[in-house]
Amino acid sequence: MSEFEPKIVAFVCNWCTYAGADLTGTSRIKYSSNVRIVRFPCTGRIDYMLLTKAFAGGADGIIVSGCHPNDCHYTSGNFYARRRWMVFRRLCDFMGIDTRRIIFSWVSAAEGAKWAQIVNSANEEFKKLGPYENYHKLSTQEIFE
Amino acid sequence: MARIGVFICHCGENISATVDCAKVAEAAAKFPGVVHSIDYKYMCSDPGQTLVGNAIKEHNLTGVVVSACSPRMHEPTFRRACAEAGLNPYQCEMANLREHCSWVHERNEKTDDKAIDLVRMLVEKVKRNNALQPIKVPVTKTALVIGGGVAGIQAALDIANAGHKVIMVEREPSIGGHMSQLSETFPTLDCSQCILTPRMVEVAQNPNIKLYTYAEIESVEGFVGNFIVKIRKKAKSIDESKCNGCGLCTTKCPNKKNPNEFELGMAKRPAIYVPFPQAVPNIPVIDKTQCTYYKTGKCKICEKVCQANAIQFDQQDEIIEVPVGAIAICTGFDIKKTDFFPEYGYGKHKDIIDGLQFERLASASGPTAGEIRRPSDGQVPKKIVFVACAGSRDPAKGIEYCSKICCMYTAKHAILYKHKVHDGTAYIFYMDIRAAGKNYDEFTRRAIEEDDAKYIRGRVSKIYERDGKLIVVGADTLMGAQTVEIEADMVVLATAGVANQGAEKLAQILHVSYDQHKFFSEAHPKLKPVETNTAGIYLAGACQSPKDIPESVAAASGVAGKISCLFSNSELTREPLIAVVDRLAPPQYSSCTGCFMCQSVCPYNAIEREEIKDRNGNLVKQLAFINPGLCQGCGTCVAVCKSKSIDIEGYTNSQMYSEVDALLNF
Amino acid sequence: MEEIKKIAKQLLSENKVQMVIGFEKGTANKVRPAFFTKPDDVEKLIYNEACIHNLALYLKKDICHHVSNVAIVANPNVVRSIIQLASENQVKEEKVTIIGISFEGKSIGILDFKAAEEFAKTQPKGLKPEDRAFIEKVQAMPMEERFNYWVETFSTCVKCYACRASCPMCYCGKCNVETNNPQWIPVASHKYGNLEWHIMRAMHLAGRCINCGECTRACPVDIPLNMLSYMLTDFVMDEFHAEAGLSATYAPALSSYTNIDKENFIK
Repeated sequence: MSEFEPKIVAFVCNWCTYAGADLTGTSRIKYSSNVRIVRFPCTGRIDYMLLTKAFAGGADGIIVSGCHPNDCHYTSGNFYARRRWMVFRRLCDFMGIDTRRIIFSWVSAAEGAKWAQIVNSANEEFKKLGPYENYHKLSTQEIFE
Repeated sequence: MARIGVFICHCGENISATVDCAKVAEAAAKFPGVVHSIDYKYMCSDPGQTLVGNAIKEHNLTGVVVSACSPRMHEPTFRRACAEAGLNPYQCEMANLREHCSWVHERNEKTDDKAIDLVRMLVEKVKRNNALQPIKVPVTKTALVIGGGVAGIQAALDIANAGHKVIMVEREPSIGGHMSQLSETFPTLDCSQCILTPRMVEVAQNPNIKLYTYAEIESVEGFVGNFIVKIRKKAKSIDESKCNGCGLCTTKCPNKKNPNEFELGMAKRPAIYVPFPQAVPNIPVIDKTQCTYYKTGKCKICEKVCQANAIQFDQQDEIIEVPVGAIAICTGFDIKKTDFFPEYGYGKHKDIIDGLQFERLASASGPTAGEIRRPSDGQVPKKIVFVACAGSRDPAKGIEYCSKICCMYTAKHAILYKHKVHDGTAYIFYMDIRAAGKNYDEFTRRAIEEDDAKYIRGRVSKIYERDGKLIVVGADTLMGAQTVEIEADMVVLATAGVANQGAEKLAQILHVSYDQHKFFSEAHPKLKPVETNTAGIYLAGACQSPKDIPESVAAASGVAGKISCLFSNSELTREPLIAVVDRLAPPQYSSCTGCFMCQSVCPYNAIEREEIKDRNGNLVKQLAFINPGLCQGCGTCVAVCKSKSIDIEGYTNSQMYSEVDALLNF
Repeated sequence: MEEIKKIAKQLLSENKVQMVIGFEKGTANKVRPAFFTKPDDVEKLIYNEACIHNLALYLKKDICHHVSNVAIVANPNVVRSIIQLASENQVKEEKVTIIGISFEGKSIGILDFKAAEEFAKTQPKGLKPEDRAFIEKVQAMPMEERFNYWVETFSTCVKCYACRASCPMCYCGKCNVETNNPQWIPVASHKYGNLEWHIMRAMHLAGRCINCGECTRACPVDIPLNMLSYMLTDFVMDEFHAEAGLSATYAPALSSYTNIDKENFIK
């Protein structure tokens, strides 16, 4: 049986992490191909409902990444995002949603190597955790029970 | 019905070596809504772009997905190609198969699968793209230059000479900045004031330049081309229109014992003063904290002697509002004072001075009329020690960067010292000599070879006083790190260059970003060195990082060029990727509830309160309204809106939702 | 009691307000919200320990839309709700007269917003011991059990939206759950849709909930959904020192920030 390959969705901001991931490319640093990047203008734009949507849709892990504090292209979007994630993560924890499956990071446009490392370590972690059956099955077979 | 065209680029072999492009194109052809899907060697080439254009016409495409390099690279290229073929440019999206796929993964089936996923994601997005029109905004062809140092002066003159209006705001009573305090300049040793003061006068005389000295920026609102700036003109207690600059008031002022800022405390000045003789404008100000009249209510001697009746004790700060189209930040830098250094006595030794103080000692117009005399007793120092990198390149002091100018000015100081004190000896402790620049290395060689400066490679661990001498204890790393002890008469610290006081506050007023040292951040370290992240706001000179005069001047001319470009059009075109509040038919008007949480998160103050009124003028509802001129498209408001009443073009809820959906549910 | 009636009657007869919101006797031994528009009707106004419903709710309902001034019998929960609504630009001070009353039914008289803020600040804050115990009990479960607990608990939810209808903070004209492009939350009451509905509701109330517990009282299937927003209220208070319903100029926790917010999970 082939090894489990987690489905990873990455929600990133255009100015820092998306550009950082571009730099990973220009630097030809290899990382796991299990990740799919969705581009947002700013972490401030990222809706927590999209995260639950990703889990429901079959994602085994999520990466959310943007500009470092004080480096936001829009000066403060990432600060609002940080608060939102703090609260959302607390809620997930309380509701038993696996917070190990949501990795948050700050990756600047200059941190191509860090991006590769974030993806690879997330990939390893999600592999260990296995498929997120608990959430997936909510949205699939159990719907009409 | 959507009719989407997919174009897979090989990028030579950059993509095709890892991703099976033909297979991706074949898979994409089967996506719902895709009517045309091909792969090609170089999509961005002329023939590649023609392929896109022809396909748009031939297949009557409603959307295009170019799957090639990063959209940060070629999105404008392909949007233009689409526009030329008659498709709205915002109906074109790019899937990033190079930077995010082929360059970072191995050639295998999983990578192909990822490439297919990325294309599917963008196909689903582009189906939901709206046709958008660029936003046009008018331009006010007046520039605001903040700071009247050499960078500000250069920028102002260049912009004014290009035929545009300039408003210059300087915090101090005179323009000139740090350069006006310098004695001679490296590497030519020409007199700083001699080259600067003519330019200062030019600023004052240029009909296109309006100069406000002793003034500060109170607030900035608006956006590129259309800023509204409030300037606080601090009360000088002088009617500028009447004062003729005779200077009688300053000579008659009885209160003459105030520390002279321009001379860095090494001289005194009256309470009513002109900072230095060549000041522009040559109009005095009253220092209210020192003036006897303001302190005790008695004196008014200046008022009595003023022939022009220009003294106005009851003058108040005045706030003026000006519209400008672009802003140049030229606020310069500051240096650490000697009190920053516990190992060098916290500034308690009078004869340990900083580089700028030495400039004043060496200046012909300085407190010693150009003779090098130590501040404590006025003796000519026979042994002088210069300490380079005082604070700079020192992570323990929180300043890990190189202050850049100190190597050169320390060499200059040693040369000037030798020219003035022929029998004296100058020692220089240094870490490295950084003399990159035209004629710079030659200049430091000259200090060593012709003027006999004793360079010692090592740092100074402490300085203390013994029998009227300053004992400088350092290491000579080129001599096996042996301890060196020098009995000096005077020590000059080349202290670190730091961000100007108030830089952080100004950055917040202007909404521009700054680094951890409070230096303003450029938009791109290489390709946008004079732009900030805020459109229409530029920066030049040492407010960005320590810079020498030629660099500051070059950056300032760069800013002037940028601003002149901006002003060469009567209106600006902006990307229409902005947030919009939904509108519904009455009686709802909008699903917006008017809670205005979006207003508090908007970094650009772009969200206004719109009042919906009935025919009788009664308020029906308050709604959020997003000013399209101010919105920069971050989308934070979209995510905080509980009723999902705000959406952002280019990243709409339905686009983002379907992107996630396309990745997972198929 | 008599004092409340006197105030209400006076307000109506002087036409300072056109409606007083309070309670009257309902069927059997129950009480029900009542809307008094005539001074003589005020005789029917009652207040007793059964009058626990959060009347602030009605300020955002149609019944208040065509009345220019409203008075409301406000226990501390109602007062906090009104202040919170004011901070969200939903009620205007000049349109609402607060007739303050303690939980025990003691009249405090008419409160302007400033006095209402002061009054709210003196009231007991934070979690009640039984709520804290519940939250700690859930917290102590292993993650999977916790997840299953909530999924099972929510599985009885019939999406009647009584929680939404009874919450003074749920005033959106068009609720997110009714948005269908995209369909953020499945409308059917299956486990997945129910879970997402409750996640969204809890997130929307984070930093805004004033812990009145109305949602859970309204729930016909007894889901302790107030525990989600209570838990977040507690978290927001600890992390951001922000508490809803105490100041009419309050910026809710999720639409403000400080650049030193501390977290330990962002890499």
